[in-house]
Amino acid sequence: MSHVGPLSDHPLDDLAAYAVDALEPAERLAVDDHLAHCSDCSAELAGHREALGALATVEAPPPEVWQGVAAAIGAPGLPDPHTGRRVPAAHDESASSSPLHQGSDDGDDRVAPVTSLAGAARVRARRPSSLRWVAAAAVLVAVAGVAGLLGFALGNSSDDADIASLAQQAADQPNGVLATLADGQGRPVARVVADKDGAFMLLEALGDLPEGQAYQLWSVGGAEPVSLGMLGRDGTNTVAFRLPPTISELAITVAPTSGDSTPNGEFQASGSVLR
Amino acid sequence: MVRHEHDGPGDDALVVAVSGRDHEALSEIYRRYGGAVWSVARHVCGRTELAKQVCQAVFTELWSHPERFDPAESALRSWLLGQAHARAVHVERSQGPQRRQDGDARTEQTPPSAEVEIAVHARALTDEGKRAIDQLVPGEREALLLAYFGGHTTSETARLLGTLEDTVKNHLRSGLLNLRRTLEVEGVMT
Repeated sequence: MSHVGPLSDHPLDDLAAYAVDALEPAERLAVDDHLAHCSDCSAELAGHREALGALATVEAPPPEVWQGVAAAIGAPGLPDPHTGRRVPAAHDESASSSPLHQGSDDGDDRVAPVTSLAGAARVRARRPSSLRWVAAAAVLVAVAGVAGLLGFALGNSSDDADIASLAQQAADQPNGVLATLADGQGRPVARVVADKDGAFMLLEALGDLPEGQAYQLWSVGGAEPVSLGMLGRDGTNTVAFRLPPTISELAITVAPTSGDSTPNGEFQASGSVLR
Repeated sequence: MVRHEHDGPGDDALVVAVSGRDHEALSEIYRRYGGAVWSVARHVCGRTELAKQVCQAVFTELWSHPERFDPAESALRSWLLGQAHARAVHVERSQGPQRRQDGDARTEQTPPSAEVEIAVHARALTDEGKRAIDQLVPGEREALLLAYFGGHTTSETARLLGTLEDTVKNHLRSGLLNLRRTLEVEGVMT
């Protein structure tokens, strides 16, 4: 539907800044609200983006990018469209091994959620080494730092012996435990352990949730809480995820299966990350 | 619409095929636009590793949620580039907490040279893009390069250029409109 009203009602200057992602979160939300009911401004935005899309030179992406995409969609052998080469069986680790900071202070809810783990989970089921791609996908969700990642399930892996055994190995290492999350009474109910490929959330003493609910993991150390993803509804579970180095405080809430945009209700568990 | 000719199925048909879990369709989309997405991510992200992850996320997101692309609203290419830019900006801003602060809070720091930064960003331009950008009036070109390729907010851009934030926003708008007109004249856009 088209917006009806004088031209001055359209936030045209803000719309241009929106097109280049230069607005602050509150300003962006206001433009989002306007765009929801103004087809004129939606068309204007599309035109801005078309023009911007014509500016940058085009270069072939490095092969690791396609390797990551192919692994994440469950087709690790698919040749790189830019080189024609097949992805080697042993993945390049660069996409998941680099430290990745997380925008925990942005409250960005315009960036779309990043990726489902469905593809990565299928790969993981075949080869434990592909776990790193689960981690890579998870950290990208954290990067997006978005309400939009609602429903993003971190590897729900209660039936995955690989995850559990890897997590246990990590827990047994010196300094392997990065955080212990305690409930409201101070009882430890979950631990975060890490190895070179990423982190694991060990839910150890939470209750199982009814259908329709799930545990949701948050970074709560920044200016605003940022969802790190869904942990499933089992109170005893091991979930692989990537813990960006800037995260200092973690918390777990009960949320609808699709996830919350901000933490609702009390923390089921919380704790600090030791570095 | 930006002219990009491809043999084979149209972009919209490829996205429909992606919805049907067709790996080859995603591969073809990546063949068509992986380079453009990569370039935007690389220019905005300070670190190549971050750009790789941004680029990867754009395509895995399309695989996971093809329904989020609305062909009635935009062309696939510019939608993917918009996704890449938003992600890259977000990652880039989260690299340094100081970037999230207003200009006033940063007065103790030596401000980067806007001229140097603009010159660096200008190297990211295609020949057509450079010609179009160079035709913009003073202020528009600088605001666009700093905001789009530099990933700066309007307040940061205003501080870098020593002007008002409202002026930056106005320059962004007039700059984008002028850019479109030039690109249309040049036949880059229709």
